[in-house]
Amino acid sequence: MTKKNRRHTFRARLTEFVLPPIDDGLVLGRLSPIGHVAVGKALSLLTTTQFEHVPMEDDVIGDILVRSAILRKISPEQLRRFMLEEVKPLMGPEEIIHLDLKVEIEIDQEPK
Amino acid sequence: MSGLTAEDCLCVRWTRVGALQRYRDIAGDGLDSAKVFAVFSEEDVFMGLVEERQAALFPGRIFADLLVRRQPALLRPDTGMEAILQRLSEERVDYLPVTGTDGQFIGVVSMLSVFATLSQREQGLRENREHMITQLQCELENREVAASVFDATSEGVMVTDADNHILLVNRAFIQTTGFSEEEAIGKTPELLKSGRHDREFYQAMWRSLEETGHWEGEVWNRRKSGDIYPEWLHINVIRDESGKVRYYAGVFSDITQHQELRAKLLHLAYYDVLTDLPNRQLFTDRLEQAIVQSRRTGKEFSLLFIDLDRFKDINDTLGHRFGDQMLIAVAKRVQNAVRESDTVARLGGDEFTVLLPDTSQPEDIAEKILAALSERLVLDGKKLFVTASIGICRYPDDGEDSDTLLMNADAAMYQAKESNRGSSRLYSSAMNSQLSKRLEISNALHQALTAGELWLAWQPQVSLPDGRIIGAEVLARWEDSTGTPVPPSVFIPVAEETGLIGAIGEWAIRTLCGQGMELACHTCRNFRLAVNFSPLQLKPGTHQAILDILAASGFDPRHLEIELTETALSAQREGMSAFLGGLGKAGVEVSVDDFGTGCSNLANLKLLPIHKLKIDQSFVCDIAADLNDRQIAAAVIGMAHALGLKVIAEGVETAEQAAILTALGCDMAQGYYFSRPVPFAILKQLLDGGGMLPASA
Repeated sequence: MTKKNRRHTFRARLTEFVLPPIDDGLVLGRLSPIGHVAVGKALSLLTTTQFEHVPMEDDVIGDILVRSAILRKISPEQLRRFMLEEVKPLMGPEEIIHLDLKVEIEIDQEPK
Repeated sequence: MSGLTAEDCLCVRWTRVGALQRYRDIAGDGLDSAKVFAVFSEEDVFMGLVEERQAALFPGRIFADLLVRRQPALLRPDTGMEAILQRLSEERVDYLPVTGTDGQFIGVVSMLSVFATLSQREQGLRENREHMITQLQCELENREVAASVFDATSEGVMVTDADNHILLVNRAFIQTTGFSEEEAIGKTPELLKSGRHDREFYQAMWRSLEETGHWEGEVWNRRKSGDIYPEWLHINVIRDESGKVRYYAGVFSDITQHQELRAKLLHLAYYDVLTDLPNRQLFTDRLEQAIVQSRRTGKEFSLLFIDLDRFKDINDTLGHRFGDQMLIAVAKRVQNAVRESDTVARLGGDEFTVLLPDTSQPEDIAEKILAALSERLVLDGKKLFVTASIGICRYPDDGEDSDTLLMNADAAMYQAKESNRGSSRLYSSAMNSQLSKRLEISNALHQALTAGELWLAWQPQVSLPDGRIIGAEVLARWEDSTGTPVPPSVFIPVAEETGLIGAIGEWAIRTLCGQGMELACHTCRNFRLAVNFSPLQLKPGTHQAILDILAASGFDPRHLEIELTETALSAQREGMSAFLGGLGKAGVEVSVDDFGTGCSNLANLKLLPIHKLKIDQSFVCDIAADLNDRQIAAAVIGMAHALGLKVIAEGVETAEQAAILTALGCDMAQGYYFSRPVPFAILKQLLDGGGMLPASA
């Protein structure tokens, strides 16, 4: 009978765990396997960051969960329009998209 | 559809789920029937509905994430059917939640549940309708049956409303009252009021109806024609569920015919069918009333007891039909002879009684009746004279009760009949002792027959030329239980009155035959034994009874002789002819007793099968001294011989009488001269001694 020898090798890369793994928000496809209530619930358990639900009336995008601070900068309607114009073409209704959103605001003020 | 609300149409196929539950976690957990989920928050607040098909698309999603974005407005339980259907259509959903005013979840309605409810309701309505139709049909049938019974019943029916106005009458009502339906309906039953009943009568009727709901009784009503008639009326009160009077239903039968029949029956019960006079029962009743009244007023009254003389002879000779006609005629005559206030009754047979309430001289009335009866009566072309005997008794002197009065009046009548037919007699207490004696004899005679106290005495009959015994007459003798002889003149009339004569006659013939058989070897060929026969013994079948006795004993009928009086022969000629003919065929001979003392009817001698005449002792006893008697005897002997009959003389007591009779050609004789009636043993001795008795020579 022949005797076989086996050798196992481990390799590890350690980085800092950041919770939640969401920066600015999530875009939930209309047919995503999880709904906004469940995601909102999870976020509220994992982080102290406040997220807002922005419902969508669309055949691809079902819901948006976005950091509350962002909605202080833009309105839900502006966000919806942006999503429909820029994000919708890139996603399917069953997907959930990680949203990293940078909002810059320029202020021009004329002297009185 | 009207009337159905959301609450009526709730769907049963829904499942309650929590907001965080997932379809995949509960699928297959008894959800077979679930079509919709009602989602509740952790605070148990109703959040909305999720259809199963939606949940099945996202089995991993929590139900909170399956709720549609815009939940349809909630339905209230009282939302009507049409509104529900409109909302389902507008919302384009299959299910709508129903909540109360406080938001509390009540249930789910769907198109399907609405249709199911509608269908159920329709089915219920259909079943209800079918049930109603069936009920209606039954009711109609019942009504038809009831209507036909109502109309066909022979009893009149009248239904009034609570105010006593006639609503309904049937055919029998119309026929009985004569009022048509149109004439009766709307009127009150006073339409029929006869006026025969007073206010109290109707008050009692209404009281009964109020208290018991029922009344029944006889009412006299008036027909349309004005005739008043009796009816038997039942009234029932018909009340509704609350107990309020709705109708009065009256059912009545016209009992006019019943009344007539009752009156007829009463008449039959209290009146004699033949004469239409009060019968014994009614008379006794009136007699008792008279006694009660007399006790109160102290006024006396009298009672007559009338018995027709020789009525039986008339009945027997002229027939019962004639006898009945005579009784009718007698009844009329008696009624005409008394006042209307007097009661004439027929107690039975030929016995009549008259109750005289206010008569101080009943003898005068009795005489008046006797006078009326004595007038010639012509019936069926036959003329006859009727006489009667009347007994009279008075209350309270002659009896204090009806039985005693009748018995004493009867005793007085009997006394009148005994002493002088066609007369009346006032009752006296002595009569009763005679009656009692007769009753005593009657009772003792009954006993004598069974106790063997009767015996036969035999009086030899001899041939006159030679003194040879050629026969004997048997005579009934009675020694009572103490050994005291009771004369035939005492007990034979009693036997005839009581009917015992039949039994005694039969006993005599039976004994004669039995003892006669013992004599057979001692007697000559022409030896005959004679026995007396009362016409009262004559009944259908009597001759056969005698022949049976003869046959049973073996006694030769040719040695038997029946002795009949002239009166007996006349009384029932037809019956007697048949009787004698029957016996004659068997060889039995007949002799006529006491010939010459009655209505000597020579035709009888020719027509009836008679063999011998017996010259009465009244002619014999003076035959030596009285030429007339001798000539009568000679005539009888000559006539008998001319007719081919033998002659026997009775009561011969002397040799001279025997010699004269022999000289006149008389064939036979009997009497003390030859021998007294002797016991059977002595007769045998006489026969054993040669059978010769002193001859006339």
